[in-house]
Amino acid sequence: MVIDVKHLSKSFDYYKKELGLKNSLKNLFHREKLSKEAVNDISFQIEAGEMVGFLGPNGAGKTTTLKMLSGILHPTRGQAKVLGYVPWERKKAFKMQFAIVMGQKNQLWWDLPANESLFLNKCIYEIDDRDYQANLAELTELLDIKDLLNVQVRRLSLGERMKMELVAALIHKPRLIFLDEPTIGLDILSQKKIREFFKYYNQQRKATVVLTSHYMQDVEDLCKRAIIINQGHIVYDGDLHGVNELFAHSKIIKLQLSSPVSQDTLAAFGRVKEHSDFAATLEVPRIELKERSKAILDQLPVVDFNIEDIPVEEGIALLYQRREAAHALA
Amino acid sequence: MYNLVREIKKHIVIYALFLKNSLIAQMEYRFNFIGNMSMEVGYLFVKLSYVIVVYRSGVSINGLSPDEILLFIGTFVTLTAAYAGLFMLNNFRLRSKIRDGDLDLLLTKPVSLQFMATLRQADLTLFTVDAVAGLVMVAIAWGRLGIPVNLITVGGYGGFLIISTVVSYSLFLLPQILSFWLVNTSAIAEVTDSFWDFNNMPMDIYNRWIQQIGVFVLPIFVISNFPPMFVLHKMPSIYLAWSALIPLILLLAVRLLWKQGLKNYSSASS
Repeated sequence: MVIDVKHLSKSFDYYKKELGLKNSLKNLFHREKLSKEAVNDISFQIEAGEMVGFLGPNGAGKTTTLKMLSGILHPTRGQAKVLGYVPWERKKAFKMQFAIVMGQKNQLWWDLPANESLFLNKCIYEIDDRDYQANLAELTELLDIKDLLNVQVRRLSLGERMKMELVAALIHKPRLIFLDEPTIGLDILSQKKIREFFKYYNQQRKATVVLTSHYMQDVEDLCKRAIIINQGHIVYDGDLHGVNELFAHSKIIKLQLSSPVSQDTLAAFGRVKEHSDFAATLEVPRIELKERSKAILDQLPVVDFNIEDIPVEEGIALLYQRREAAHALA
Repeated sequence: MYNLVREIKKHIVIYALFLKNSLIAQMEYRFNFIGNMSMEVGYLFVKLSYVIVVYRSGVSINGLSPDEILLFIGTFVTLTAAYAGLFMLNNFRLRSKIRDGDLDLLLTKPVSLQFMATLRQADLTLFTVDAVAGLVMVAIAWGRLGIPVNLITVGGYGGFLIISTVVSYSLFLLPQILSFWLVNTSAIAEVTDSFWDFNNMPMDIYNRWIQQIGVFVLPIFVISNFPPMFVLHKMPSIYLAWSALIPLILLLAVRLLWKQGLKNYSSASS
């Protein structure tokens, strides 16, 4: 087992300040300390070679969890073993075996060509010359950035810079990789290239990958398993497409129409999710799928007809809402 | 033991790369680099003009001759090279690194975080110019004072320069580490940084009480007074003992405070 997390929690102290100078003055002398439970009693295990997607809305606790697992933050409570080490003890042997990539933070020296920073990492990770050259050639070839090694980092595009960051993070062949929003802000082509790279990298190196992303495509393409976290709690841990089974009582019917049909007419067959002159998307109860489908085909001017599961994205959004509703009731 | 030696060697290699990278980064902006160099060379002449001022004025402080004063000033300028060129930039940036969560990636590297966070940047143009100016002043004063050039005097002076460098690194880093708790420590840091200029002149210009405080309580006078005092045979034995202890005490204090502070590091939300 590569990651074993038991009842891990992390809370942060903060305080509130009301609007205005008067309250700032008051604040100079007295502050009401508040505490926010960013991660609350989470437990999970990840096996070697797995690619796991960590999903959740902003502020759910994904990055905090990743920071605890990489030893950046101390937890408030709970235990974790990563590659056999307690991460926040920050043992050198542990640090030599993992990498973390944060889409919003960079390790490359801004004013230098990337090859200078990469060489620095070679010395930091004690990589011998031959391994370094071979690894550098392979990574830059895969990411198609060989010609950019001598270009000042600040002159690279966002996509090129992120690819360089990946090379810097993977130059020591880590067994475990934490990716925190690695494709944030990138165009679709760059996102795709990076996804393909990680798919290949995982297959070739059998590295374990834990990924957080706001782009569902990243997670759907790369991860079989998803851990969904909301308000610091794990609300789902399992097969990514199994999320839909939680909402298996509904199905989606997508229609292409030969002539316009009013929304009221469509509503007789199911809940209208989308509607335009020649297309419509309906949500229907699974147990009535057969009858409703037959009725639609008999009564509407259908030229194309598709039955689909609720999209994973929607399933996850429903999970968040379910948790929030439960929280509000409590 | 073997591991320790290996780690020290690794850190020295990485430090050399930090220096190299800092220089390359400065040189990437050619006009700015040349402009800085020219400005620093200008400062070099200004600093060397101290020599003329000291001799023209013929000033004597508490029995110190102009040659001896020049030795003190030269030492101060040399140590300013180390402090301003190698440490100050990192010290100033530390609080923003803590506030903005920029220690995150450094924390995951298999080298000392304190080393990475406090020695990563350097201004080598400033360092070189100040070091050259300082050492030229020291050499002029050394020759005029007729101090013999042998292992004891040169080695001893060099050793005291190292002690002073360690003291200045630790002493001026300590208030910055408070950022782990207070987040913004600019007020404290500005006050402590202004203490650097207490070294501008020999501590003999202050009264005895201030001297004792400046040596034993807030050991600012240790920095630029001890090396010249040693070669001028003006160092009391208690100062000699203190000079062996103080770098160790300060390094230990920095290390303990750093480790404690790091537990408080809360990164920043992404």
